[in-house]
Amino acid sequence: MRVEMIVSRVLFWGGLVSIVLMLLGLVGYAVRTTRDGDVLNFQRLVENREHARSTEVFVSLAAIGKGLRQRPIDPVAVSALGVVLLLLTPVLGVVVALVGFWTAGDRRYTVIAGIILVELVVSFLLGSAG
Amino acid sequence: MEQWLFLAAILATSIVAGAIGAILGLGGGIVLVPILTMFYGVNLRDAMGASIISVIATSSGAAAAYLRTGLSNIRIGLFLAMATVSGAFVGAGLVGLVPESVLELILGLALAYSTLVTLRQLNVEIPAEPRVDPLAMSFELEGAYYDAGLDRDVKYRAARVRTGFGAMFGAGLLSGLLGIGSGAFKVLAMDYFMRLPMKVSTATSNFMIGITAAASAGIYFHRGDLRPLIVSPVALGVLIGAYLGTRLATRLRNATLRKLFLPVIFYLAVSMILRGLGVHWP
Repeated sequence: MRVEMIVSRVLFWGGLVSIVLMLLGLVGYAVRTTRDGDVLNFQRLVENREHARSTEVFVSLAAIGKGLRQRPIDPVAVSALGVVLLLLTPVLGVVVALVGFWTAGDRRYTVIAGIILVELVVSFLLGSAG
Repeated sequence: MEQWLFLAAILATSIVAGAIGAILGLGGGIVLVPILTMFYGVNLRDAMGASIISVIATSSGAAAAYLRTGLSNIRIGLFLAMATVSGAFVGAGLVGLVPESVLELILGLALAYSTLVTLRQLNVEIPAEPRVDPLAMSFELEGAYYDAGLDRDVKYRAARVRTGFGAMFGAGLLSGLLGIGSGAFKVLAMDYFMRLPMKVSTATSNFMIGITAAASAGIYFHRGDLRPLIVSPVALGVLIGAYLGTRLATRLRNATLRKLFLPVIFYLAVSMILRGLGVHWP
């Protein structure tokens, strides 16, 4: 199979699974707030940034994992997982392209994909450090 | 009930932004950031976060389709992504050092410039045969695609590779600085400098946008600017829009694409320049 086709599939399925997770989280959040009688107020969410911050944002994979292990499961963590998965989808695309070029014996483009991958990994590491 | 209307409005807006993005090779972010901040009162950083994620959603959806049809050139995309990712890296590092108004002004001027460039070659479907660049030969920056509008196969090869590569670094820089995909500049670099057919530039740009945005998005994530409850409806809408836009784009001629391109760019350029000068208007 051509490299283009494999990368195409990775991007398609990565995007789809991520978006489904985001949607599930959103619906779950809506159900929870309705059931608990708490008004689902996106306007408040948008305008009152600092107020919502602590409970409605995740800044590490560990925090997302904790939210997912909770019972009942934290729907916002499910959305957050979707966000992170989407963020990683292009990276996965580059990994797959690298393997594809390697298998096809295209050394030049294996190296090029490798350079991009290193750049991406460094930016993630610097992001978590800063 | 009101909050559901608000959510529906954000979703609908995101669908439109996503469709425009896919048609023009923009990530949709350049449309989304001003709209979310100006019309919905979303905090700028949250808007940039929602934008960068929706940029990846658009790119993944559109690029998947373009790669399958062969319109997206994976070699040209990866070769130039080396430049955009480096640029995004530097750009994200510069955030906070450059005042926001200066950034808006720079973006507005750059957009205005790209409008002029696009105007000059409004009716060119396929670029004239350029001089052969040896770099394009050795890195295989070439290809062919079937153009349904012209009903024939179109062969192409990149020209002025060094200039294009440099312009791509600039495009990546803007992406990292502003939380946008900066697809307009990627298209500009490929279409104008490298003399690639508009459709190939647009399709390949869609592929590169996601990789570039991923570099910035990691930093946004750790900064706490990716709020799932804002990001999710926006990304969902943009993805739906991108799907519809991609289907539409394959049926249009290149000149039609450009005519669609112009008013959007012009409006954004004017509002960005004005914001940079301290005048806030929708």
